[in-house]
Amino acid sequence: MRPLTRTFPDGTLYTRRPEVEVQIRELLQLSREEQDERMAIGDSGHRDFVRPECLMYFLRETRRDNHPGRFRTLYRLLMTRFGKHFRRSEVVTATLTIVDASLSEVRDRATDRLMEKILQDKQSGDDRLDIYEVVFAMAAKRDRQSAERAVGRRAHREESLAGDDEVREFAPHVEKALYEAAMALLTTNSDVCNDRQKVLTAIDALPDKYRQVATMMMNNIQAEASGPDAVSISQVQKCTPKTARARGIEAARRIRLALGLEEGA
Amino acid sequence: MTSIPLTEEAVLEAFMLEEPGQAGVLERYLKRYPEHAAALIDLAHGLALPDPVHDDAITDEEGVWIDAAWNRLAAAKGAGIVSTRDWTRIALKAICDTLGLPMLVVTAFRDRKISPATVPTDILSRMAATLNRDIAALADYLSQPVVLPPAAAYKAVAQPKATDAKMSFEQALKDAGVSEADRRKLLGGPV
Repeated sequence: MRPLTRTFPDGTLYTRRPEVEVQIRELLQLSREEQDERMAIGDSGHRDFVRPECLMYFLRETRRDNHPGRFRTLYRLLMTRFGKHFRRSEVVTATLTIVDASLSEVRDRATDRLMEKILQDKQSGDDRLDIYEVVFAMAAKRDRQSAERAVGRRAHREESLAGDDEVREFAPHVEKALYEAAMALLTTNSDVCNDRQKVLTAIDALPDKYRQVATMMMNNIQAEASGPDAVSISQVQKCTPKTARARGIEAARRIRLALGLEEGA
Repeated sequence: MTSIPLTEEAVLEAFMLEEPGQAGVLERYLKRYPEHAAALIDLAHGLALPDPVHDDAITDEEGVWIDAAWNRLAAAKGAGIVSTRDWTRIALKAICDTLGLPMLVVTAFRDRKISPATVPTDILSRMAATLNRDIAALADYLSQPVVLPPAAAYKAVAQPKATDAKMSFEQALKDAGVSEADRRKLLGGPV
């Protein structure tokens, strides 16, 4: 089996997950027709479903394999899997089809970047594809995010920010209580809101600055550094600890509002 | 990890490959790579966010998108790939003239109705040369699903499979009314 060649920052080589390597070996035992049959299974719950990491392995193997049509067939299967990580740009209702052009643009941009890597790999090798043989879904998510940033899909969220968090003043004991409540909402073990996915979806709709603060709070990063080696929200956002706490409180308020846990502003 | 400056892509990949759910990973990366803080936080959120993955069959629009991506690439990369755009009226005529094939058969090639496995290598090779592409790229193209007219593609309930409605080269010649002698010549070896 072809080894991966990309390395971690410390110089160690990337390796595929054991389950991916097991499946690649399994597929290598099959005839081309049997491989094709299995690879065409689109239902991820099917016991013979082929992981996208394995599809990428076989797509890259076409460099040494001149079987007619193999590359294109695998390309199509792989892109179908890749496309599943993007929101559909078309919503069909009973009477009309609504197309979100920015969603198409995000998908097209991410696809073009992946295709460019695939072609580069086919022509002269490109270790940037190694990550797709290790964690395909994560790589697809990263590509989607990067494309979203590039097409400015999130840009409008910045517009409404206008420093409204900085003007909120709380008495110290109120601020402490509100910030603790915000942490309770956002940290993993919270019982304030037991649906983490809903919280994450609400965070996703926040303006960038609040989304950043909420994400750091979810990862137990404090508003103010507790020691010389600690990282804090105020350091990352280059603001005072007071502002960082105010943003955390505001982020939590907006999330509660989105979840229907708080009355409108 | 070393202190050598890393690209954002390398840092994000290393972050993605950390053990899922491990405590303190984001904090560690923010401390080590403060210059990539915004991208790291964005990625941490993105990885935690539920994916809009859907298992249902691809829609017509998605099928068109996959082919469109290929065509964009073909336009950008040139000789390595054959796309529907290569089959211009002039190219179709040139193939008819070069290979002595009826237009009906050449358009069947364009629409990927003919299985490449049934076509003599010499025919494929000369057709590829006329299209100014290589034979592997042409074979790749012909192996893909049959090209449907736009209206039919729009109405299709499911995406056609790669093997749908492919015919043999010999059958295409018969359907186009090519004489037995000419068929033998085309199928038997160098034209």
